[in-house]
Order: sequence, then C-alpha cells, then structure tokens
Amino acid sequence: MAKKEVKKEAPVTLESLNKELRGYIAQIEALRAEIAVVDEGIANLRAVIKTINNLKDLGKGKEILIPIGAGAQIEAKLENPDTIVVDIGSGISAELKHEEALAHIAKQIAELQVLRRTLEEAIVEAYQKTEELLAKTKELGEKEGK
Amino acid sequence: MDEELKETIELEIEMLKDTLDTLKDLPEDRKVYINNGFICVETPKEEAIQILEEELKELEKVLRESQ
Repeated sequence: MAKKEVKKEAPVTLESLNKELRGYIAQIEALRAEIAVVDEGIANLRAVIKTINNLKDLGKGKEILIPIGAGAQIEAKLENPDTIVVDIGSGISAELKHEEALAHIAKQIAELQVLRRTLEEAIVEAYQKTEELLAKTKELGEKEGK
Repeated sequence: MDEELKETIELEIEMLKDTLDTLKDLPEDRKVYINNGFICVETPKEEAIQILEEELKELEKVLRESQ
C-alpha cells in the first residue's frame, strides 16, 4: 500500500498574519476605488436623465450649446427633443423615444446599483477577515511576548 | 488562454448579444448609428446587425479554439 503523504501546513507567524492582513487592506482599498467609479457612473446617468427632461421642457427650436469634447461647444438648434440617441453597447447607438431613453438609463442605473451592493458586501467580508486576523495577531503577539 | 482573458471575451460576447437583442427589437423607423470617436455615423440597421453578428462569430470562434 502506498504511503499517504501528509502535507505539513506552514506555521502561523506574526509575519504571515501581517502579510495576509496587508492583502485584505489592499483589497478593501481597491473595492472602495471601484465603488467610487460606480458612484460616478450613477451620478453621470442621473445627470443625463435631468438633461433629457430639461431638453424636452425647452422644446423644439431652442438654441443650445452642445459639448464636442475638451470643453469646446458648438451652437445648435433643438430639432426633436423627444428623440434621444442612446449608446446601446458594442459601439452602437440607436434612436429612442423620450420615455424609452429614460427607461434604458434607469435600467443602467439599477445594474450599477446591484454592482455597488455586491462591492459593498465584499468590503464587509474583507473587514471581517481583517478583524479576525487582527485578533489572531494580537493573540500570537501576547503568546510570543510571554 | 489565461482565465482573465477568457472572462473578458465571455463578457464581450454577452454584451454583443444584449446589443443585438436591443437592435432587433428596435422599431423599424428608428435610426441606428455606429460610434466613431466623438461622432456617430448613421448606418442601416441591417448593416449594424451584420457587423455585430460577424464580431460575435469571431469571438465565439476564439473562445471555442481556446477550449
């Protein structure tokens, strides 16, 4: 019969605990940064909803300035504020009616909010791990100090 | 193929499928555009669908060959 090989686990040291702790702290920071990006995306989409509604209120024929990037703008006249061209992904944009465009954007906001909740849950989990590791570190530090 | 690249391709395939569904459901009177930097170029809906379907086939082939 073949001998069963018993794999020895590496001993837990203050150094290994600290290394693991630093990993979780970095993970929390990365998740926070990702949440900030998601929040910015949600804020942008809310601004778009406001703009679409404002344009509709302004009505046909109103003269407006349209941003063309790098802070430059071009004069234009509102022709059809009830039709919005929306990015539908994969480099394609399509004409949507006012209500359809609002629904499309609301769906995008809802998707980002789901992503945000998932990221928040991951942060909570990482926090719990850091607390466990801190407790272990403290315990080991006291043992080694004796 | 490394896992990260595989996941990126799978995600891209999902996005292409979503866009195709949205395009196919779009009423006939709606204009379709291809994004080109800061501007959009009007394109017949059928042409846009064809471009996306070809892109989808390419990505599915890459994924199949990697497995």
